[in-house]
Amino acid sequence: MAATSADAKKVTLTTSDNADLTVEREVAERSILIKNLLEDIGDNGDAIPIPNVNEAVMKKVLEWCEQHRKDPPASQDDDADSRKKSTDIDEWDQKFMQVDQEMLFEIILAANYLDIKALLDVGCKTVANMIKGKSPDEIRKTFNIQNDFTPEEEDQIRRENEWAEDR
Amino acid sequence: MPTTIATLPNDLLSSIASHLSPSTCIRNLRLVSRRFNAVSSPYLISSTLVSFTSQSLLDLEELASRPVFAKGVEKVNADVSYVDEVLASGMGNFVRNAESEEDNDDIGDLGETNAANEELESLVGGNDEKYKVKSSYDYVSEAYGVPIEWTVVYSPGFEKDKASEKQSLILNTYEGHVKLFEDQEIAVPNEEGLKRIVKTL
Repeated sequence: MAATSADAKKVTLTTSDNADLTVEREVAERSILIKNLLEDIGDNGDAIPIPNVNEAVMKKVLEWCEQHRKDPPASQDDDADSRKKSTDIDEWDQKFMQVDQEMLFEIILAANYLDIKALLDVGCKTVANMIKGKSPDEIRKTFNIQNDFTPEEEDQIRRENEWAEDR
Repeated sequence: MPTTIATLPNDLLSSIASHLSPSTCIRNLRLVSRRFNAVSSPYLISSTLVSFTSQSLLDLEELASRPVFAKGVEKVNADVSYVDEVLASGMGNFVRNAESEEDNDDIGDLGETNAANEELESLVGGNDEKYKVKSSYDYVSEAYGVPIEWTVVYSPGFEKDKASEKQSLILNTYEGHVKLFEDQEIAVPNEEGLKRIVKTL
């Protein structure tokens, strides 16, 4: 492995629509999937196929990776309460996530597939914020979801919600 | 086909729900559709409080018997306050205690209760749960000082139906205390209540 030359620090990713994207290895390695691939196969200069992500989404994901390239790796503690219940998102990430719903869900799916925990988290928090403060009907309208409950099922859930209130 | 929220697999919908508060958001999310109900229900109840009364123990057991909700419970707070036997054994004791509470906020009178609290606490101390200790008759101090009116209550010949508002208050409080005590004696003996809690957990 010729780690000393500047070119060796770059990797090429081939997206699902056959676009080749060349980025610095450090940036690409925000993805644990790509990091592990590079470690397993060795950096032989071949393009790495990313068959589940198209060019537009991959570019967006790499933009995030570039911005967060120096972030410390996620610790185990990040899984704990502090991260979970909060829907706080830093300012840059909030702007980054101002995309249409289709792109938002594509980013979430890509982050999940590429194993970029922090990006997945930001995506999920963004969706959670879109749900916050909305009635069931408003949530359905926002995400275009069909109400498939029978009236009986809906009653049952309302009763359970009331029951849960006293817990 | 465009990517929508419906495209996301259940584990990702579940991650989204995990960021929402049980009180309102999860309740609303459950009412959206069958799928959203399924993924958000485990987040409906994240913590619960149990105390040593029959009803509370039954409630905890009911919760535990519903795995969809029970698996989301991350914290069970145990209220180990103890209903005092001496106070329950006679109206006179109860009223005198309430009076001394009134007069000088006498902590000494609570000593016995607190000792019982600590004992219970040490019994369950092996678990990682958090304990909340509170006096079971804090509410008595909310009744302002009418010691003489109260003293009459346990004198012979007192007629309950002629009780003043304040006398009724202490009578009802006393009856409540006795009921709690009797209930506790059914729920708690031989650490039965504790065993039920531990078993349920």
